[in-house]
Order: sequence, then structure tokens, then C-alpha cells
Amino acid sequence: MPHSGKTLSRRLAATLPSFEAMDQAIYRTIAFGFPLLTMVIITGAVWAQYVWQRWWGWDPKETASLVTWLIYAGYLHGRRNRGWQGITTARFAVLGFLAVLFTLAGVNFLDSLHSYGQPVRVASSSLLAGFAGLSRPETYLTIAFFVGHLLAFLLVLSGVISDRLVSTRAGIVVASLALLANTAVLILRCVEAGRLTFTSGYDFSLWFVWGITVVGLWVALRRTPLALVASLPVALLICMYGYLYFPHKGHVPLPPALQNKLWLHVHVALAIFAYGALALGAGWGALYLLKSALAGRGAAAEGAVRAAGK
Amino acid sequence: MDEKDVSESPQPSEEITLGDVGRLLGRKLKEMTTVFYLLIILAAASFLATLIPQHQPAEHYLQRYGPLPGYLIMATGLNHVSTAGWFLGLLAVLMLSLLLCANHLYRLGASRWSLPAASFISRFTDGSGSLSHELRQEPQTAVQTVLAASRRAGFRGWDRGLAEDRSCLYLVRHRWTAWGATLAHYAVFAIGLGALLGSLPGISVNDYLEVNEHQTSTGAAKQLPFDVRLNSFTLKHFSGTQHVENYYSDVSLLVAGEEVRRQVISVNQPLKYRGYYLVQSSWGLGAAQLAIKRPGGKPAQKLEFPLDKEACPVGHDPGTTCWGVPSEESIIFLPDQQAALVAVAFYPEARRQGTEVIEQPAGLSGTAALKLVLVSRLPASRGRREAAAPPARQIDAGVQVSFTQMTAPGASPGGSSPTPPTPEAGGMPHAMQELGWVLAGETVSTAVGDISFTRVTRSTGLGIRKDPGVPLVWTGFIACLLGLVMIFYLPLQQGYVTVTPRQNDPAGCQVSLRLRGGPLTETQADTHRLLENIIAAEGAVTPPTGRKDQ
Repeated sequence: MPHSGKTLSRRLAATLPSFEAMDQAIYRTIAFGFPLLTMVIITGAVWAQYVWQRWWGWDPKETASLVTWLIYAGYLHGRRNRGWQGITTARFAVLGFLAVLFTLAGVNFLDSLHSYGQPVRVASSSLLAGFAGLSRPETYLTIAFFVGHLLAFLLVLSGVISDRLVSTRAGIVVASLALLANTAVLILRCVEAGRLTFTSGYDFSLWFVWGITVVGLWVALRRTPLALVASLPVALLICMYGYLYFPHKGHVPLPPALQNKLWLHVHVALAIFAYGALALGAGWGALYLLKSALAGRGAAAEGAVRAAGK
Repeated sequence: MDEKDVSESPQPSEEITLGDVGRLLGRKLKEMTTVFYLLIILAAASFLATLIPQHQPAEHYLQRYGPLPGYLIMATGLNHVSTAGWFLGLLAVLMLSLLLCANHLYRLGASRWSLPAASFISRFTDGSGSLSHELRQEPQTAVQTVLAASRRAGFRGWDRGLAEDRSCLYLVRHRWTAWGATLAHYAVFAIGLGALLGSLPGISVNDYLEVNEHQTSTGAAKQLPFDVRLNSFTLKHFSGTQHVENYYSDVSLLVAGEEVRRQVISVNQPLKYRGYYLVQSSWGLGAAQLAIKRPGGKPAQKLEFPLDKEACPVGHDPGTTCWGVPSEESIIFLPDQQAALVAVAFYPEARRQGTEVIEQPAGLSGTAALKLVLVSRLPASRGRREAAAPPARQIDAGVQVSFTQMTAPGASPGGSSPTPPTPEAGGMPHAMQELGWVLAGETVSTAVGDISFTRVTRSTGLGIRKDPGVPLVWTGFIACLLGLVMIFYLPLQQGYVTVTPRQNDPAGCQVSLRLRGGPLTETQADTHRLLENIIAAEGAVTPPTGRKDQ
């Protein structure tokens, strides 16, 4: 089929919700995530005050999260007072989430109080080496949850493009199963460590992906399955980061500063949901930009056809 | 900060007064554009601060970034962004603008809190997005029906009287959240003010004190009203691992030599004294303590080699810690024995394996080890500075001790830094005894007596903080969260309803309804829902007649 690529992109563009709906969807995720992000920063500050009697120390992670907060705050003000909508919303959602990713992963490469268990600078070249040291059930569950995410994404995507409800529903079911596998991995790891595993970069990537999938599924079930098309790629990206960049997946005892269980748990739990919502927003933003690019190309092609016809 | 609410400046007169400039500045400060540029600059600066290591010595920047960029970084204060004058200045401007915005939002909140006039409601329900329905009720009954139905839907309602011949009703949900934005902005202002208060020298303290075991650090040098004595220090590892579980400093606070407080400080358990917090922040080694039991029943002599974490050989990675005896303090003279004890190397943790002593990683319950050399029968050496001609001999692979070190310290005894060989001068008679490795708790017999390595004392690093801004920051945090929850999760929703009597049917009327509200609410869907409620309350079964202007 010579025109299959063009047809596919046109179909995808037609399948995606209207620009207004996507703008609204992005705005909702940010309006939901922003207060949570604020709580993450505040609980972090309160916790730091308990540990070091210093609620703010310009640690790279603190600063990066402040920058993230400022980006989203700027966007919310612009929307309210300047009517920033449409592509501006999409761009801000992506930009803000890049800042989230920097907060999460980028600062691990800087000297930070939050640099979890020394990530490697270059990803592991052997794809299966990352499973070394994991128990067999955990390995299988981890593979199941990685593959499940990918499969669910493909099923939902093909379902919405070809308008086949069966495929979309299957995608939602697979995503739910992948979430269950993710939950099982987390439970296994918590049982193994004897506590909630919130300290290594790999563990946090698992929690983060869990949050993204929960938020994605929630929106997929309540509104549109396309939410999974938006959120699952981000989840997969973070899975891969955690898996490849943290080859040592064993449990390390909590350093003294992290032994304040209450604040550790509140802080990280809020972060999981805040980042989950913002990740979904970024996914929507990327889809918005994609649709806008496809529409732009389509419009240009149509113009060319019309010119040729004349 | 809505542009339309920015107050107009008075008509320009011939002369520009100071008041005009102030008003213009005030208006500029309130504008979104100003706030945006401020935020972008501050965010960019903060971002740079995460990339460029902060508060490092000048050489660090010159080495890492090259001479010109390094110099530029230091000249612009990018090496200490959070304390740079321009950063604090911009923060202050942002705070001022925030205060102006908050004041403006206060007025906006007040306008939303007040009940709108009937004429406003009447105009508003004529706009797009309103729904209408014919009720078969007299207008007065219909008003009661609407109020009852909206109460059930969670709205509070007011009958605002007549505009022309229409009854105008005002409905509101989450009325108190009209103050959400105001609260959030004042809150951020309070946090900023608290931060400023906490960074002002004089009223806030952010210092660091290092105390060796059994010693007292005077606080006077740091303007503290107390001295700190470290009674003991304990380091606890997770069993069998190198991971520190916690560290504990048993400290006494002394005021004028009197103990006013004694407490064990650990991470998460600071000591609080009159607004000051002493926080466990680091630990280290203090000194290697030795004792010489001299022959002839003389009292034992106590010696101490101070320990330093920067006793690294030349060319070592900067930033790594190598505990050892600093070279300039590695020789202790024993004047009455005419001898000198030299610390050649030190391991914080080691163990014996056969005749060897092997260094161990920290935390694996090794014992400190000190490698010693005794040099005796020094002619004419009665004190440190009276060293005779410098004798020099290879003591151990690559390590050389020269008595010139006393006056010109240079070589590191701890490792591999080479000392240029000094010529043997004049054949001065001296004896050199290699005592080898001595582990803490062990004793070696020498000509000057039995030398025992008693123990290694530790030191503790205590953060000392006093931050009077904290209560303000806490208040700001709570208010900020409350404000954001109000804005985004419990948005204010206002409803405008008119009940218009039908001209030729006194038993019927038309109800028009329009909701406007928080961004997260589906206003149109909510309008529908409320209307259905009203219809249900009336008992009618006919569906809405449809939307206006759609």
C-alpha cells in the first residue's frame, strides 16, 4: 500500500480528541498535579527541617523541583490571565514534565542529597544484565510488567486507530494486568527489604511508573482510553531508565536521614501521584503536538493538491 | 492580576512627580509580564545553580571551566546564586510584586464574596451558555422551587429581588473559596518573608562546629552563647555492612563553664536550646592516642597524633577523604629520652592477617592501625627546633623521614609522596627502630619504654541553626496548601438564575440559568444537572427547551 503511512497518520490525527478536548485534558492533569507537586515540595521542606533544621538548602533536587513548580505556576497564571490555551498548554505540559524528569533523573548525576545509589553514567549494554541478583518470581513479574506496558500501548493504539473496541478493551485489560504485575513486584521488593522501598533510583522508577499507570488507567476508564496512549509511553521510558541505569537492584539500608518514616512516606507517596498526573499531562501534550504537526502537514498537502488541480 | 483590574494612572500633568513614578512602578510590578520575566530569570538562575557546583573554592571553577568562564562565573555570582546580591534583589522585587498581586486578589475575592445586584444577574443570564426552561408554576413558587432544588445540589441561594419584572436569584457553591487565590498569594509572600528572615545574619544562625571527643569547642568565636563539649561519640553500623545506621554524640552545653544541658544528639534528634538547634551532621576522627610506659617507674606519658581527613598523597582525587596524620604533625619529640616518634602511616580500620596488616573498608569492625618509627639518641636535640644535621634514611618502601621536616614540613608520612633524598650529614650517631604496624589496643616494647596505641578518638560535626523565620514559613505552607486546594479542588461555582413571568399566562414562567465556576468543573454539564434538578422539583416531565445561542 503506497499511501499507508499517510493514511495511518491521517487516521491517527482523526482519532485523537479535538484540540479543545486535549487542551482541557492537559489542563485538568496540571490543575490536579500542581497542588500535589506543591505538597511534595512542602513535605520535603518540613522533613528537611526535622532532619537538618534547615527547610531549604538549595540542594539540586530542591532547586529542580522549584523550577518545575515555577514552570507550572507560570503556565497556570498565563492561562488564567492571558488565555494561554491550545498549543501553549501542550508545550508547557511537555516542558514542565522535562523539568520533572530532570528533578527525578537528571540530578542523580549531580551531587545531591537525593542522588540515589549511584546510577551508572552509561546504560548497561546487555539488556538482560539488569535482572542479575533478582529472585526468579521478581524477574518474571518484572518482565511481565514491562512487556505488558508495551503490549497495552500497542493494543489501545491499534484499537483507537482502527476503531476496534475489542482491541482497545484488551489494551485496558492488559494495562490493568501490567499494573497488577507492577504492584506485585513492589510488594515483593517491600517484603524482601522489610520496609517500603523508597530509596533507590530503581525502586523509585517502579513507584513512579505505578503512579503514571494508575492515573492513566483511571482517566482511561472514566473518560477516554486514549489516556493510556498518552501515559504508557512515558511509563515505559521511565521503566527503561530505572532498569538500565541502576544495575544494582539489591536493597541498601536506609541512611540515617531517611529513617524518619512518616515524612519519607508522605513525601514520596505524594510525589508518585503528582508526577503520575503530570506525566499524563505531558503525554497528552505530546499527542497534541503530534496532532498539530499531522494536521499542519495534512493542510499543507491539501493546499499542494489544490494548487496542482488548478 | 487581571489586566482589566489594573487601576488607571491619573491624567499626566506637566510635571512628573515622585508619586507618578511610584504609581507607574506599582502598576508595572503588578503586571503579569513583569512577574513572568522575573520568574523566568529566577528559574533560569536556579537551574544554573543546580548545574554549577555552589560554594566551591575559586580554584575549582578556574580548573573546571577554564580561566575566563571560571572568572565570569565568580564575577556574576553564579557560584553562589542563592546568596548573590542580584538574585536576592530580584527575589525582593518578586516579593513586592507578589504583595501587590495579593492585595489585588484580596479585592477580587471581596467582589466575589459579595452578592451581585439583580441587574447584573439579569444581564448575565442573557449571555451565551445559559439554559432556559418553562415552568408551570407561578413566579413566586418557581423561585422557591429553584432555591430548594439548588440547595439539594449543594448551592446556597439568595433571592436578589427584581430586575425589571424578573426575579433574580444568586446561587453559590464553595463560597468561602472566593478567597483561595488571595490566600495562596499571601502564603507565598509569607514563605518568602520567612526565608528572608532566616537568611539574615545577626538574627539567624547557620553554622558548623567540630568537636573532638573529651574536648570543648568554644562558641564565642561563632557568637554562640555556649560552649560544646563532646563526652563521647558512637557510630552504629547495620550489622555486617558498611552502611551507617546512625551516629550519636553525647554532648554537654556549657555556659561559663557550667553544664546547662546534656543530651545525646543523633540524626533526626537534635538538641534544642534557647532557639538554637544542634544537629548531627557529620563525624570524623579526632586523634590517635598513645601512651609510653617509661622504665624506672616514671609516670606514663600520653601522646597524641592529630588525625585529618585530607592527608591524601599528592595527585589524589580532590574531594576524597584519606584519614591520616598530617605531615607537619607526624613527629613527636620525646625530649627527656632524646628520641622522636614518627607516625608513618595510618589506617582507620584494619586487621592482622598473619604478619601483614590489611586495611579494611569502614564499618566492618576493624581496628585502627598506626605505623610507627622510633628515632633515638639524637645529639643536641633538646627541643623541636634544635634539630641537628638532618639524618635521612629509607625507612620503608618509598617513605623517607628527614628531621628537616620539623622546620620545613612537606612530606606526607601517610603515603607515597616522595621526599627528595637528603644527604647523610656528618655521620651523626642515631638509631632508627621500625616499630611497624601497631593496632589500637596493642603495645610494643622499645628502648624508651612500652609504647601502646590506646585508641582513636572521634570528632563530631554539629550543624548549629537558629531560624526565626520558620513559624512564618510553616504558616505560609499551610495557607498555600489551603489556597491551592480551594482554587483547584473546591472551586468557587456561582449560579445566576432569573425567573420571568409569562406575559399571557400568570400560572407559568420561564427559568433561565447560567453557572460559571472553577476551571475544573464542567460548568455546562453542571448547568444541565442543576436544571434537571429544578425540573424534577417542579414535577414536570418535559425536557429542557434547549440552549440559547448554541
